Amino acid sequence: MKIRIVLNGTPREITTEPGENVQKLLKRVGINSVRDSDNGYAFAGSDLIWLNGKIVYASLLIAAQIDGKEIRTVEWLSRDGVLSPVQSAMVDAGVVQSGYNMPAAALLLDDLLNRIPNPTKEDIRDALSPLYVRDSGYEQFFKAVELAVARRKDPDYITTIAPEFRDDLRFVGKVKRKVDAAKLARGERVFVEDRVEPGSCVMKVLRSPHAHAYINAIDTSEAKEIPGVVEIFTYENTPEVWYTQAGQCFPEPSPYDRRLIGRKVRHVGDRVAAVVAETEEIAETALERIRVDYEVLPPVLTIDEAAAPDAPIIHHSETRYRTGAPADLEERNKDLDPREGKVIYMFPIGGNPHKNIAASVSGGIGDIEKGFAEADVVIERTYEPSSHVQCTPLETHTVYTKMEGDRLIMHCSTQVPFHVRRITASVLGISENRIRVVKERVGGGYGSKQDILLEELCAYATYKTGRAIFYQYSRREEFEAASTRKPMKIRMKLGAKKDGTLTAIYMDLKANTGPYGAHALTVPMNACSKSLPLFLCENVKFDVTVYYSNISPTGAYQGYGAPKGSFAMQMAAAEMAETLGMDPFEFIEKNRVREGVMLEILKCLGEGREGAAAPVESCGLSPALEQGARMIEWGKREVSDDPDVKIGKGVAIVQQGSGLPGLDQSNATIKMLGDGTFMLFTGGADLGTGLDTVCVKMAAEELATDMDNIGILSGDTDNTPFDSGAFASSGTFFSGSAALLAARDMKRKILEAAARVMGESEEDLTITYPGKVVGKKGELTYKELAWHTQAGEGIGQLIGEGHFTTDKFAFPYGAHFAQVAVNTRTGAIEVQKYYALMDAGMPINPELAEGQIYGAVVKSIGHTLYENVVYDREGHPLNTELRSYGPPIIKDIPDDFKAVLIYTDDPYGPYGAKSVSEVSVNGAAPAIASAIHDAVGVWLRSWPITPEAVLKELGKI
Amino acid sequence: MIQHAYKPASLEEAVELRNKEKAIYLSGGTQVNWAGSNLHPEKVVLLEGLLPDTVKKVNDRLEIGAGITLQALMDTRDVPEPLRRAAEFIFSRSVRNMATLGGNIAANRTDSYVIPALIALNAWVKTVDGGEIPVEEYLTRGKDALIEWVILPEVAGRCVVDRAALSAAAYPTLTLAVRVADGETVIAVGCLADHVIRLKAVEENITSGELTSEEAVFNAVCEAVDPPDSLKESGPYRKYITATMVARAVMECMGVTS
Repeated sequence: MKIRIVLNGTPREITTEPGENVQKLLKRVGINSVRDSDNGYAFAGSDLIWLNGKIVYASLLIAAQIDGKEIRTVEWLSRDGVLSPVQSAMVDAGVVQSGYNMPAAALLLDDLLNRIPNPTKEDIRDALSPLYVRDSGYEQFFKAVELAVARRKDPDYITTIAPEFRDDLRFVGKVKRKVDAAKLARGERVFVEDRVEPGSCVMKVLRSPHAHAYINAIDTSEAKEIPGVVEIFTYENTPEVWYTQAGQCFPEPSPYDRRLIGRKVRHVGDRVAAVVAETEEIAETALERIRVDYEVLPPVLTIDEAAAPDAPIIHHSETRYRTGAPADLEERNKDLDPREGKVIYMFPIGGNPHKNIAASVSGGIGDIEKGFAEADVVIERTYEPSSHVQCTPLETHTVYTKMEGDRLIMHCSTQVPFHVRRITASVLGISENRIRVVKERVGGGYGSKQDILLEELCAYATYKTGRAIFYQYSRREEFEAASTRKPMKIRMKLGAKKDGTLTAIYMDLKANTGPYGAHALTVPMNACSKSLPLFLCENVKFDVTVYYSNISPTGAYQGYGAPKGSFAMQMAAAEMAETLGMDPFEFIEKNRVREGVMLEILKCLGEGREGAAAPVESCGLSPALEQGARMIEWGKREVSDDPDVKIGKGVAIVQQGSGLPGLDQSNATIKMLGDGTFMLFTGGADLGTGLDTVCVKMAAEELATDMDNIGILSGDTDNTPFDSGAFASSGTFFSGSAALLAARDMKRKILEAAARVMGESEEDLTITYPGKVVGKKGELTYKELAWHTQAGEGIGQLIGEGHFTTDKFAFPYGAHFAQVAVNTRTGAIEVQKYYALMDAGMPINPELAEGQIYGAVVKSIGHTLYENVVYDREGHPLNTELRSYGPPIIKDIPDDFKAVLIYTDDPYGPYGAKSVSEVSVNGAAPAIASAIHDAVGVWLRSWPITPEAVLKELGKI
Repeated sequence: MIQHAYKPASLEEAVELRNKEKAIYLSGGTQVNWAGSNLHPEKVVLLEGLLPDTVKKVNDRLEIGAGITLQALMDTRDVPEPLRRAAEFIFSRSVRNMATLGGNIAANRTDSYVIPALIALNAWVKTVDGGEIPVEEYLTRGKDALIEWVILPEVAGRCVVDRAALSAAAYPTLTLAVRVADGETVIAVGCLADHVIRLKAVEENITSGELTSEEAVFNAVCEAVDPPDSLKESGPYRKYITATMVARAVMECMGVTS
């Protein structure tokens, strides 16, 4: 049929089928900004459009319904080439982070202001109710609306967006537009899916319906005969190369326990076959025609089941070690079923796969038994943050691969482009110089894109077939086959004196790593290393055991184990305070970490290698606690008008790291161009967090030139130097430091070259704004210098280089305060107030840092109160779409919600900065749980904390 | 995928096409086109522009066009507050922009917010073939007929609607509407069974004056319902929360506060 619509002001006649989904139709006719995050479940809102005056979901419409109608998308808003007042307000308020559904947000806010020129907070919440935002926590949208309202009258209106720091600096510490925000707000083609060329194939993967099974046989013959099927890959025609999907530095502290497609499936959704076809429809038909004979095995789903003496073994595999093999290895490897495959450890990490143990480690300082013996009070508690929590990025995992000559080009949404290249090269058996990885804009990562989940499979298929291939996870695949938090069970034992001084801390942590061991050791260790050092105690011990199971894969998720470890540690501290009759705030103050102390426990907590004690060079906990306590009026009992409702307050302190000293490395180069502007090349991966902006600001500051004079290219393995990747909150500290060092090197070279040109001594020259060299005798602009250096008799293009590694630590800290109202009749929990006071050193991008804090807190409110993947007894995840999974939306955020930046000047961070991207995800669970206890006197030690859980503890059910 | 989408010129033609082609009606699309739907039609009959979407007072009753979107319903002050509030429980404004009143009734979902409110308000539907039947009866036997108008008679007593859910956007644990008047009690609850149900035994005992305290109502509801475990909640919790919220709603209707 033909339909006639007006699309962004232009009449269009479109040939279609009556039932064609309108989101797909719009994409087909070139509107890429209307995206798909939920496959037609109408939750995420990435597919929102304006249709005859109303904002509706495109994926809930068929072509026949839009005939004769007018549609506007975000392209309408900036049709005259400039950002609309709404878009510019969104950019300036800092809400544009990963940006995947910011076009939809712009449409919603534009519609709001057309309906209600001066909206209330309630109006804004209602307007944004169709939109799921995972990165920025919603709060800054109120500021964006305030700005937009004002700019509709005065386009030049400005106001305070966020606090600024360091009057002596021009860009660093100041609110400046994120360098990629405008194009994201305009919905430009910057994501992987926008790179797909006509004629490309698609990949679809046949996934296991069983949690645990062998593949006895697989028959693809019927499927291969379907016209348009290019190739089908199974265990029979893929290499027996073992690797880890964890994007960590080599040699990885994660076992190499999977191959591209194996003969054993270990979770519902595990790979069975990969189909490459001309179209999605052909690929899906082919999937249905593949015949698989499974030998189903009993599944193992929990830590207790995995640890049972008679448990089915997930990896009864041949085990190998690159170094450090145990003496009895050959004995262990006798009489194994070859279908099990292999597990290869780079070095010992305490694994014993034949007992379902992927990794284990123990350590401590002092004498734990002595510590308990000295205590006046000893408590022992078990915490089970065992819920299965998913990252849910708006942009599901995706990749586009193609050949150019004999080189493989991979367009990826990844946090680790260089690890993608390395792992892909090893799987394909080719050298890394045959592969180029281009990190596109990332529509949400949160750790899950630190893992290589589909890139290597697609790359192999392209390499073998020569065809360009696009693959994007469905939302269901995102739940079944992407990486999530590791469920944990943590037993805490604390000893303390009557006056509250801690004498002993013991953490016995058991984790469930799922079917594969990506981050098996390091996430649980991080649970210890980011929680134990928050309290100063001479006697500390930890035991960590990590089990394989048949749940969906786990891996890295923002916080990287720290949210769960922090929950256990903070709750145990709060329960000890209660036992001692102390105010929990007082207990924290008595025992907490302070600036200047040495964290001895870190000696035992290296990431798969020997650790080192580290000093706390900067710690903003004092002002954070003091200010937070004032803000929430700590100690004042709040009373509700409703007699069923009790109100309580809770506090938690949090910590994270800034990258991995001794493990991470970042590099950057900066080139002066012919007109005196610069191009900065950094290997760092901006996930929407603002890393590119951090690097540009540092270079601009150092070179005393405007940010617009610094162009940036990042995360391209052909064109940018090596960077370990965006994880462990390394961005600002490592990638930013490399950019700063490159700029400093450039500065040195500018002065050296300028001295020659100007005939002056280098010591007499300074670089001044706006981008010139000033001496005693004269001045030379960068443009003039470039002409000199790049001329026929010049010394050559000026190129600065920066390389950053360090053994120094910079710990961000924070104090989180929550006020909750608990309805004792229904168990309902309302977070009325939440204050996150964060010491991230010197905030390079203050408004983006606030957005990171808000986003992290909302995620953690989600995992505390709402989110959980539920499995049946056979290991099938049952809620594999967003609404049934249950993440929070704008109507769930606290009414009084504040992120406060506490300034400290870290001696090791660039311009004194520390990380901010993960640390705020650690506070909500303990702060809320403590507040609930303050309200109604019960301790809730498992996640999620639901009304049912409250009522059970209150004895009502 | 839908292969045929018929665009009739009148409601009568819509009915004829539906019957002849064995198609289903497509109004807003939030049910038929939703990925979680168990409807996978090949043929649909488009209703947009055919159904009335206004609200009018006719003698002592309010007539609401079945084609009105739930957002427009919410925005219309003449619509009784409980029904507007029920529509507001739908978390997404964009769903409300698309979903129609008639479509919501016809979908007959157990987690509907609107259906309990309509039942509690003694709502009727007027169908294209001229019939007028109570909503409740329509849902049990008249579902084939195309709804043209929803009729709200004047009713006595106060009506309270409520919901329980883990979060703002979560599928509800419970939807309910209660109305208590002299000689009449209506308790309609959703999410406990395949469709919205009434707790008739409890209603009768309230009407008869046997149940006058919150505790008594609570206990009676506990006797009346026995929900199974759901995805995230246990049966005992669902029973408890149903009884708690129904009892509180009854008391509110009676003007009794604790």
